[in-house]
Amino acid sequence: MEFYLSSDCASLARYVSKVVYLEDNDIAHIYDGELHIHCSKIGSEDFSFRTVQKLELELSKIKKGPYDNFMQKEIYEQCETTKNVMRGRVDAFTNRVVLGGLENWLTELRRAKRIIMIASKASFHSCLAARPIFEELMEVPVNVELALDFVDRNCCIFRNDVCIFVSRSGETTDTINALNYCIKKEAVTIGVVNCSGSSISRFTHCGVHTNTGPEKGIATTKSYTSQYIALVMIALWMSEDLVSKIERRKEIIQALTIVPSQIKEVLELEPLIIELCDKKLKQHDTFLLLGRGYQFASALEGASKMKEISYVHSESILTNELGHRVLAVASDNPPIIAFATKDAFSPKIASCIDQIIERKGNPIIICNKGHKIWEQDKQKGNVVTLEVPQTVDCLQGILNVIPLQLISYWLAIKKDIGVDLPRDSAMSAPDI
Amino acid sequence: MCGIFGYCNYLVERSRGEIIDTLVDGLQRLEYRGYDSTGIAIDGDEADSTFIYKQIGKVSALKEEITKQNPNRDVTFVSHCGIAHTRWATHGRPEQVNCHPQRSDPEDQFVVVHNGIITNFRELKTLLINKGYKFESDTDTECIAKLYLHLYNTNLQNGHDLDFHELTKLVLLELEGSYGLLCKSCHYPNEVIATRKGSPLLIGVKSEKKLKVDFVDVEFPEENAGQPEIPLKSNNKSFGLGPKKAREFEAGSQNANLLPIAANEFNLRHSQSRAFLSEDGSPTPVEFFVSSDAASVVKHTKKVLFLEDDDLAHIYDGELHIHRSRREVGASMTRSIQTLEMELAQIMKGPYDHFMQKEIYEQPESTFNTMRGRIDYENNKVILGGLKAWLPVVRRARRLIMIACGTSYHSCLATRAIFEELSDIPVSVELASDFLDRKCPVFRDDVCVFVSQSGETADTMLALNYCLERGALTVGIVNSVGSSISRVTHCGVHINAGPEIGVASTKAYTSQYIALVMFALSLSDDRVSKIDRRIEIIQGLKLIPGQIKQVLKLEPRIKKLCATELKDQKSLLLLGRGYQFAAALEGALKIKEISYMHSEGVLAGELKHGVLALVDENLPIIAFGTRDSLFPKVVSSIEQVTARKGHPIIICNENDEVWAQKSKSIDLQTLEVPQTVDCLQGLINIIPLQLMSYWLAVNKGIDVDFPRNLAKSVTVE
Repeated sequence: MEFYLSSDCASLARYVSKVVYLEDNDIAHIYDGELHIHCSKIGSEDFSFRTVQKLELELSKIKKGPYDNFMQKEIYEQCETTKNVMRGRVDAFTNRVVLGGLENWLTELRRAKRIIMIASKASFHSCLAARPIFEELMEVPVNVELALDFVDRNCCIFRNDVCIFVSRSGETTDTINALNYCIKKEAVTIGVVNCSGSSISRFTHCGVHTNTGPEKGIATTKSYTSQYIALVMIALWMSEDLVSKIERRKEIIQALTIVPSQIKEVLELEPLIIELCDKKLKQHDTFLLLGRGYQFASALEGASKMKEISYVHSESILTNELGHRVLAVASDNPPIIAFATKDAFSPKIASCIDQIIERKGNPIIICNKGHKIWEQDKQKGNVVTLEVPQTVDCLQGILNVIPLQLISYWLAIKKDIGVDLPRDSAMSAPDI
Repeated sequence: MCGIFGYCNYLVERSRGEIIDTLVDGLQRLEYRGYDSTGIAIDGDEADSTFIYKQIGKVSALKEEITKQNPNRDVTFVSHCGIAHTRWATHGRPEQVNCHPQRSDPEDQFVVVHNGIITNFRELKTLLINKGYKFESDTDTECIAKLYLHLYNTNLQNGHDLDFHELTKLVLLELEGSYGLLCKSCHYPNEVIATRKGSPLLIGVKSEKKLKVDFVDVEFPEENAGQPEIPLKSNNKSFGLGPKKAREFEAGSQNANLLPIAANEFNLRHSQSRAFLSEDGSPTPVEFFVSSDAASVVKHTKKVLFLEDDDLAHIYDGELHIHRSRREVGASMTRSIQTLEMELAQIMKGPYDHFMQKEIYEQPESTFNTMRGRIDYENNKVILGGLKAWLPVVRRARRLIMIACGTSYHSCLATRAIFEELSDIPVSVELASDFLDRKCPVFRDDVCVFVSQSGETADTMLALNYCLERGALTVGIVNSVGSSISRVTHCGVHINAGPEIGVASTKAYTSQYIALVMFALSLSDDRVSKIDRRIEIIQGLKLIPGQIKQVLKLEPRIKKLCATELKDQKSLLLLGRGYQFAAALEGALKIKEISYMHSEGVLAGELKHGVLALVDENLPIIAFGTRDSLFPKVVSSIEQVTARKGHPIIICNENDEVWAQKSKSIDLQTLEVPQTVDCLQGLINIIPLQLMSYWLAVNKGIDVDFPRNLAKSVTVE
């Protein structure tokens, strides 16, 4: 008999496929080829047994394949991962979304008076990205909370609140603390995770698995887009019985089906981005990212990637907050990256970008293909454009974030930074 | 953003020099609002001619330009109208041709100054170019001037001699977006038009005689003779029919009027309001001052009238007429004349080098004033007259939504936790612009709190209108009497901070913070379980002014830090947790806007999610390490920083043993501030950051009170 003990299943995958998870306050005693589990506190556990589970991790999935770094591999996997999160769940013919993990809680979820989405960092950004579509489809207030701040504040939570916990690893300490808090307050809890058997997936009432596969790079890339789609699917699923939303739901579902191929198109921007990093961006150590509406989350996520991977101080700003102080910094010529894909706010975004151009800000604009509004400025060298396919406004952020992932990656490569193991960051943040 | 100023004198003799000085002085007082170019328009030497002077840069540059042009300053005018503008570029970079006033043609037939953004200006410009007009500038405002000329000429050709306000209505029909607008024309000598939509505008009235009434009637057109919709693109034939039909209807209406009493009543009200200056109807010397901000009017008169959106003010023959550019059911019939309370001396700098410094040092007084007469320290009570009648409704609210921009948003973040603690009502804090973009669901049992120093912030105003439409109860927390938000909300609290001239908000932040805390205390005053907490907070508030005075003594130390540790740095990280997260964000904002250093506020516990990658021995870090329930976790986060060779500056409480011990073994510095209740500590902790921003800017030789690209009141969205 052999036993392997680990804090993460990735290190076990090559040796075994059967595992037992310890709960809090468990004491495992291994001797004479036997495993004994004791409880350090009387009455603190409901369960009298621990099930042996089967690991599904494949060794090959953890290899880099033809890519130089895991991060690059995972960026390119987004064509498949976005497809996987929808597989068997989105039916484009009947325009329905099926989420088996939530089915038993349908009544409670649709009765929600308020939805609270709780997460940290990249998962927090995916919640921000999905928030407007929840509000639109369900017509209930939606709060997005940083898990840490949520717990610090001892927020008001009620029985008819629905709390959604988003975490790639399912082990993020702050998010788990928030989850325990909400369970105590009797709210209905949903987990959106990428690891089956993780704490959050086991403690929440119900949930959705993002089916993303292992993510080895520290910087979250494919998990972000998968979480984004999972959340949109939840919103579609919860709003299914509203007649007034039929057309909108149909529009979104049809657009979801072509997202994977559109991502493939965006990835073709890589040569242009490499050139851009070489010529324009490499020598800078401060960046500003501007987004509005659905694209504010894209700006936040992009800024986060650049901090983590390229070590540049980047900050995301709501485009229309320019007038509130941020423009003071713009004239010192930090590179400015602005999201200007088409949606309800396009004229206002164009106006803000005009103001930047007037101050010689020379922005990089992520816009849709065939968008002519900056053609003249482009000729004059005032702007650089990165063109992405157009999709429904609430899904555009999935495409828009990918150029930023590539920029972060290539900036790091150009600066000779270890991409997959950046200093001071961790995949799971279990400790405070 | 931009500033508008207009001056009209009627039967008051003024030399051209005096008129120029009045206009330029008006701009000087608006300079803090936006300042990359300035200009004025006055009557020329020949009848029906206009002089326009404009220049890039500050008001002082305009003075030099006028001196250079050397107009005859001794010519006197018994009646005159002049307009002026200070600009913040939104379309077209700062260049002389892009300065306002903008004109319709080389003969200066129509001259316009404009605040705001015309969102359909590209289409208008294309249309006008196709009709043969030649543009001199890249501005959206020039479209307005040329549109005036086009519509004037078209109507003239069709035999219609329109009144100035009638012509203006036709122009406004074509404009989309926001505007605060003044227009002057040689075709309407000694007349000026003022109108607004989304941008603030007020009119000051000055006369030797006592005002007869304190309101001006709004003049609505006859119901069945409303102005016709005349689209610009219609052909001449259909275009020409409109006004003629309007007159026919009007005549018919008069003939059909069989109710003499009603007619008399109308005439009486009409003449009464128009002649509000005169007892006997004889012409009276009068001066009008039109401005986008009361600060430029207060020197001349305290009697002011605020225009509403879609009001159209027409000043001529010593009279002020208010029309509506579009009719609304239930719209107010009058505009009241209010008395400003702002004193001139309050606006001046006093012994300080900059308004910002003055305002930082005023915080012991401004915080005291916010609380004065509202907190009873003996009985531990909070009395907010502006909210008193509405408190039971607020207590029953399903949700509180706090909506603001910039620094005001940070004051909401700072107080959110105490609201939730004291009221047990869920609280959302929203950036106004994002709130609008999302079309957030708002219900009748929501209470929406709008916080704005100026009371004119465009995004906050739009969000307010959005919430009113949905039946929510609205509360305003503002610092300006008579501002749009204070007049449109159901109830509110005035923060009594006094005028804030420096573009970076300092004393308004602390006053807003206190006003919000008082609001939260009011909500909880019927709860037994909150009594001890309320007493603790109220007694803590009592000490705040004195404690702020104490923190200000850190200035020499901070000045030195800025000259040594922080000099020549490009980036800065601020760490705060819990109540201090808002202080970190606000501190970062101050540093960004004043010293142009890229700084970011981070929740201390979020370090490990990426931000820690930035930490090394070179990056300056400021951390809030004052005592509260999260203190051990904050210490742990800071240890992670020092373990990676970071050497933070810790803002901690006086005589704190933990930091005293650590500073012996770790490379860190401390700034010691007094200790107070956790939910009030942010009031103390922000002061060192304000001073830091100020001295970083001064050491860089930056103009502290007028930072580039920024404006005091963001009135465009």
